[in-house]
Amino acid sequence: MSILERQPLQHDVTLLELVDRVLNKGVVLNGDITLSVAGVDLVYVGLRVLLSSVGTLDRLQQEAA
Amino acid sequence: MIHLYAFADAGVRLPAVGGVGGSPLGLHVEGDVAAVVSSAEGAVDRDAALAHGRVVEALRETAEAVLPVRFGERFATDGELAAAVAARADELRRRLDHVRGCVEFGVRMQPPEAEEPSRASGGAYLRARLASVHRAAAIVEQLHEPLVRCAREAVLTPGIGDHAAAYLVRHEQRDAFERTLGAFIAAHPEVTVLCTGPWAPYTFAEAA
Repeated sequence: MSILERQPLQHDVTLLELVDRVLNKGVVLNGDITLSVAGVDLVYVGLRVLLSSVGTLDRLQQEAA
Repeated sequence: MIHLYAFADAGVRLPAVGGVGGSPLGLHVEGDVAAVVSSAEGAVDRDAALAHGRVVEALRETAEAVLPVRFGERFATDGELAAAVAARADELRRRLDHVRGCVEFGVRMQPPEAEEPSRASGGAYLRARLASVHRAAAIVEQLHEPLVRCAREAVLTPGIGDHAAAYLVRHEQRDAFERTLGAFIAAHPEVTVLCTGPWAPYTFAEAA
C-alpha cells in the first residue's frame, strides 16, 4: 500500500484539505472579493478533530498489536 | 456571471467534467494563457467549492501546467475577465512555467503529546518545557529538510497542528518524495503524519 493511503481517514482529510485549498489558496485577481461559504469554520474545527482521531487510532492499533 | 477556475496553456484540452451547478467548461484565451471558465450557475456554497476543486484537479490530470484560481473569482462580462487577465498576463505566464510538470503535496505532523512537567519548581518546569520545545523543533526539521531536497519549492502553511507544509514536486521526483516521507514515518512511529496529494499547485499559484 502506498504511504499516501495508509490512513483510514485519508478520504475525510483529503476532502477537508481540498476545501482549504479551494477557499484559501490559488491565484487572486480581485483581492477585494470576500465570499462567505457556509461551513468554512467547520473545516478547521473538523481537521483538528481528525488529526487527533488519527493519533488515537494509531495508539489503539499499537496497543492491539 | 463568469466563474473562473484556473489558468493553463492556450492549447489545453478541457477535461470532461462539469463546472459549478453542472455548467459546461469553456476557455477564454488571452495570448498564450487560457482561462478555464464556465457560467456561474447555482449558489455559492460548499457544493460549488467542491465542483471548483473537481475541475482544477481534472485539469491537473490532463494539463502539463495549471494554476488554480481561488474559489470565488466571478466576472460580469468577458470584457471584465479579459481586462483582469491582461493586467497579470506576464506574471501568470511565468508562474505557469514555474509549476509546469509539478504537483503539490501537503504534509501535516503532530508530534507526540509532551508530558506535562512538574510545576513543583519554576526553574525545573521551564527547563523541561524548553527541552520539549527543542525536541519538537528537531523532529520537524528531520521531516521537513529531506522533503525540501525532493521539491522545487516548499512553504510552511501554519495554522493547524504543530507542523504543516506544502511541497511543489516534479513528476520525476515523486518517488523520491514518497520514499523520503515513508522513511521518516517508519523511523518515527510516535508522531502522526498526514500527507495529501497529489494536488494541483494551489499553494504555489501566487509568487511568495
